[in-house]
Amino acid sequence: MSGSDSRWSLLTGVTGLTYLFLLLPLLVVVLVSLNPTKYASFPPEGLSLTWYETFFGDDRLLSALWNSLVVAFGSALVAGAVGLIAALGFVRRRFRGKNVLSSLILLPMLISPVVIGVTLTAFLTSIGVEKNYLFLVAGHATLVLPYVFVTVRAQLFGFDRSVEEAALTLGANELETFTEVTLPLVMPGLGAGMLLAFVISFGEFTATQFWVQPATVTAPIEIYTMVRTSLTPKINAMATVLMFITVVVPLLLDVVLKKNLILRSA
Amino acid sequence: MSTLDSSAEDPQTNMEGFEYYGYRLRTAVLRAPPLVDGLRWLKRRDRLLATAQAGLGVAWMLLFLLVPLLYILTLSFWQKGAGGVVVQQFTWGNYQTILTQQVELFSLTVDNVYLLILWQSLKFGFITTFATLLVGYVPGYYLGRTESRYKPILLLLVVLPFWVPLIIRYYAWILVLGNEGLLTTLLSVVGMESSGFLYTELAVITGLVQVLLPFMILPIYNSVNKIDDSLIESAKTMGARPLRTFYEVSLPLSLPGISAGSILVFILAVGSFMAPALLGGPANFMIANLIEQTFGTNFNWPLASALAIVYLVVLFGIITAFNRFVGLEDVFGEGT
Repeated sequence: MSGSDSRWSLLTGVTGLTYLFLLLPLLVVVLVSLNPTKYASFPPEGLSLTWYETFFGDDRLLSALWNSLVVAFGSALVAGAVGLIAALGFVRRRFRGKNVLSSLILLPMLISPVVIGVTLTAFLTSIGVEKNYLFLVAGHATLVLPYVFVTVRAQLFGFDRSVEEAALTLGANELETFTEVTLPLVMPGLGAGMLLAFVISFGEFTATQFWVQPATVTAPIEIYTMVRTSLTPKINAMATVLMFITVVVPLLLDVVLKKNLILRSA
Repeated sequence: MSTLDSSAEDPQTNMEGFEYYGYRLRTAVLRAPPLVDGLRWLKRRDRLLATAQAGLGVAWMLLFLLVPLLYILTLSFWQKGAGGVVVQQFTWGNYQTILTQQVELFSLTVDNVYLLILWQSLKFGFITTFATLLVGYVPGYYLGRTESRYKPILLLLVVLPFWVPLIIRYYAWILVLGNEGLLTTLLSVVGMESSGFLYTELAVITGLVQVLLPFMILPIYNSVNKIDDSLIESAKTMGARPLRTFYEVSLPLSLPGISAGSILVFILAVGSFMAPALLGGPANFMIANLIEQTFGTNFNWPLASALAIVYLVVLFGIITAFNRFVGLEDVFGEGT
């Protein structure tokens, strides 16, 4: 028995190391962001919020952050609506070519975002579309639509349609049944998908680099520019703020709403 | 849940205040005559409604993905004029360039440089997939078999990195691997001097493995989690040693997870832009970086389009080949 015990502790140990590999670099970013000196040093030479002050005093970076929030919010809404309706159609209706067509909707998950970025830019500029917020929202919605589609679809597979029939029998019309019965029941999947859509859009860089113009630059673009030009400690403060928005806020929401949205999104 | 009896104007509910008035407002709107009439009209055309529902998602992808892809297919057969202008004249030239391009690097001539970069992308993809499998199998297996009450938290910690912007996850490695980074500091404590590990193939692969690891751990966890304990118990009762039990029972049953994770990691690694851009040097270019540079820096849209088409052909070749063994839909965990 002690043999299997020691084997299990070996597994536990290796798993622990993998977690370290997975999470330590992110902790390093947070740690270094609190370091007052111009250059990163280990261990940090002290704790200070200097770089956060610099970050929050930088209008350029703040407006990029604002752009990211607007675009992420917009694309999560669009992808949520389109993804929900499409998932309803795909799960509940019978039609030919379903497999091929659902693969088409999943495609943006697999194609390199560089190719999606280049392709959409070449096409939309050729028909005279300007690179404004709508351009960004449409592009991001395309990138995140598969995630909403997949999570809502998963929720719909386990959906007991007899409750809808009950509502209809009791005199609700189709629209009421949808808002009072269907929507609340698919909400966990839809919420998880839209949250994921928000987070992915918020942090998207690779395709976005082709879609912005100076007025619509987003936070990840600013980070990339700073990394490539001057490795300033402002990056660490900004990165920590972004992680707070995409990780801590949803986690708190999760705890408050008790919906387990984050695990569901996996 | 309230009753939805339309004959009772004021349904018996356990809703209070705000919620109740919200409900009244919604039902008032939803029972408005024009809406009800419209609904009746739609119900008579059920097929139309079905087409519209599924069609909305399909139409979105047609407009923003498929038509643009067809456009760059056309673009890839056009020519680049002076100053980045596209000349709409047919040519095979872009594809010829991809097949034969030579580059002079210092007094060194490199043949077929584009094909070399494509090959390098595939090579990085293979190495990353293999390394991710090596690193990710144990935690996936552990999570699938553990009875720890912290399991939900442990799973959450694997998912959480998905929520961190990719650029930050790659940037973090600059702080770890860079000159005067965490690793060089730790090494100098034990007396080893180094000027950092950035801008190398190893740095690119390390970043890719760490970023793509959850895509491997989660499918493996899913398939190990499904293994019936009694199978493992009976193997043991029949006298199989633990290692044999693993080879004969657990490993074969976790194969679906391994293949799903591997194909995802491979596809995502081959298309990676940020790992080489942030952690690699010019020698570690991958196909995505080449497309970006050709499109963005050199303004050669026709050539960039041709490169993108070549990438897509290779990608779909891989997916089709893989589809013979494992359905792509299974990779996403749901059937149809």
